[in-house]
Amino acid sequence: MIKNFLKEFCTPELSGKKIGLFRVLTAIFGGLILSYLGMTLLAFLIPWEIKEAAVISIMFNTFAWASAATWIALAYTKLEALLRFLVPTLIFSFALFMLY
Amino acid sequence: MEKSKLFKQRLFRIHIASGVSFAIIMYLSIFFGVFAIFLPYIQTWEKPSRYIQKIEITKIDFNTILEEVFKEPNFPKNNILINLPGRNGESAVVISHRFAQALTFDPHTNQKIEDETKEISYLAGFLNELHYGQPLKLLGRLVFGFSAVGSMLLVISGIVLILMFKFKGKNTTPQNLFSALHVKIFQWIFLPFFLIILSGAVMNIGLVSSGVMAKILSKGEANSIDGVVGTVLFAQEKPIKPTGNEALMKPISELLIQAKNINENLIFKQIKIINWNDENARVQIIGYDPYKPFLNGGFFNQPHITLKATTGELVDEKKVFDASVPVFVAEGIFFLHFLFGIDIFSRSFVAVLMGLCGIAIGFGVMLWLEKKAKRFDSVIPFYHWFGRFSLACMIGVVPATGSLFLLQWLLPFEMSDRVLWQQGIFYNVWLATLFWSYFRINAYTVAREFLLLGGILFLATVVMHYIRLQTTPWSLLQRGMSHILGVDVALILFALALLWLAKKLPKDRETMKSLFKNKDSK
Repeated sequence: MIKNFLKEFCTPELSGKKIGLFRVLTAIFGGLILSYLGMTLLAFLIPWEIKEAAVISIMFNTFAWASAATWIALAYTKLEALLRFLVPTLIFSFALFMLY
Repeated sequence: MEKSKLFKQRLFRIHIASGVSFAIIMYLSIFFGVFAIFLPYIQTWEKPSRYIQKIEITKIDFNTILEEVFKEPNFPKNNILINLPGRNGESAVVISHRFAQALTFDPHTNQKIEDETKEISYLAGFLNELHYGQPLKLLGRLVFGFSAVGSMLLVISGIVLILMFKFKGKNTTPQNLFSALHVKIFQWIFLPFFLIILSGAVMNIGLVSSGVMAKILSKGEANSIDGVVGTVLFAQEKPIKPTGNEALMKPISELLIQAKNINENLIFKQIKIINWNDENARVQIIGYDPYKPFLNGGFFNQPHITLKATTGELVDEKKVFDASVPVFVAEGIFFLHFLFGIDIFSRSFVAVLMGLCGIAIGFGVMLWLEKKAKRFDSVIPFYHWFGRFSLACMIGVVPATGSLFLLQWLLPFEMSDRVLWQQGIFYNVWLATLFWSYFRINAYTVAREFLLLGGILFLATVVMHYIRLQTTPWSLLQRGMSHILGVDVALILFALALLWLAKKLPKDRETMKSLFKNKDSK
């Protein structure tokens, strides 16, 4: 059963006319976490003072969310959608953990 | 091949699904936002106490007004802010302070004006609150903020769609026309639209949710984002100590002329009074440079000239470009949303752009409904709950707003709970339009009726305005109140446009389609 589930998870859907709950949730909430961590990290990476760079993060925070959600929802397979959320999120969290 | 097909299908689907989910709230935000663009003018128009002749700011006796302010027992004595008339259509001198209720003065007589409170007159403010969901408090603000994020998603997917597909603008069927208009309008004006929804999303969601980010960035020190970026965005000034010796102050109007000579590009909007009547008194004249849009004049970058109030000597001048890059970024993003101190022409221009965006959103919804309707193709009349709901929200809001305006002058100002009645009737009229659009079979007739009613209500507003004031447009003009007459003229033009639309709109879906058939055969 798990095998079947995994197989379905890794194969692309036949039609793109239905987005599906999994993609919607991954896109909205995954995109939120991903963009929030990404923008926080961005403030550390911009070579300005933190308080100046934070302005950029705040201003483009919501835009990053919208972009990340679109990007995740457009993944080829469900697995890819999950990876698009998980991989950058893990990298960003690790980087933030190191910088903190 | 398969992969790109799936990608295109999904992109379309995402655009349609989020479009239908967010269209109504985004449309409402734009509809009330257009009124909010003219907020300063409506604010003056709605309050009889502000019917004051226009005046040159250099002819006002600010020193006498300040003496009056100092007589007020509960008003702070230092760091008083004088908001100059002429800015944003305001006709009175408004004296404000961070920790006190503002005082209003007549610039001609230097007398205090009894300002209408929020309980007596709150039309422009209410329209502004409707613009960002404030009537539902935090919930409303969050919902409107999520719609702004959703609209950014729509802009992104929409741009990719336009780049990937060639949308031909053939006007052969209603569906093609709606599609063409939706694509064409947004193709041209998505950039200002994007800037405005981005700043809207920042205000409604970005700032609310920034606590965690502030905590991480400051390594646990700051609890809110103000603690991190506050000092960057809002310039900090060292307090100037008073010496304790009294001194004679120069007239502020003279200092204004002097400041004008120092930088003639600035239009002055506020004066900050520091240590008045002391030897160490300063007058900080804050303005904006209209020749450098997107860079100054908003919340963050305010060029100013500081003069010694005793001698008029220049102490400090902050020019437009004396600011850091993050300030310019913030200013640029917020500029189009707030239009601080921007003149009526630029305001009208942005209002027209936003009106077009609202229309384009409307056509997007029509396109979706038209695709649904095609399945039934004339066999039975098309009736879709979402169509009726959007009809009430999008067109029904016009007569509802009309009633809000009419009640502003219909209800006597002495009435108790005046604003409550006004807003309550507004909500009820809006609900009634929902009932009416579900009740009637033919949606086109409903739309015509709503537009007609809206037009009549807005016309009646203007008539009622003059009955209540017992004056004529001509006498308003003679008394130098063209900015108040301007609101009436705008309302009449809007009403006439609504009446024209009500007359021109096709009677039903069949007439609509036949319009295109004739075009095709020619």
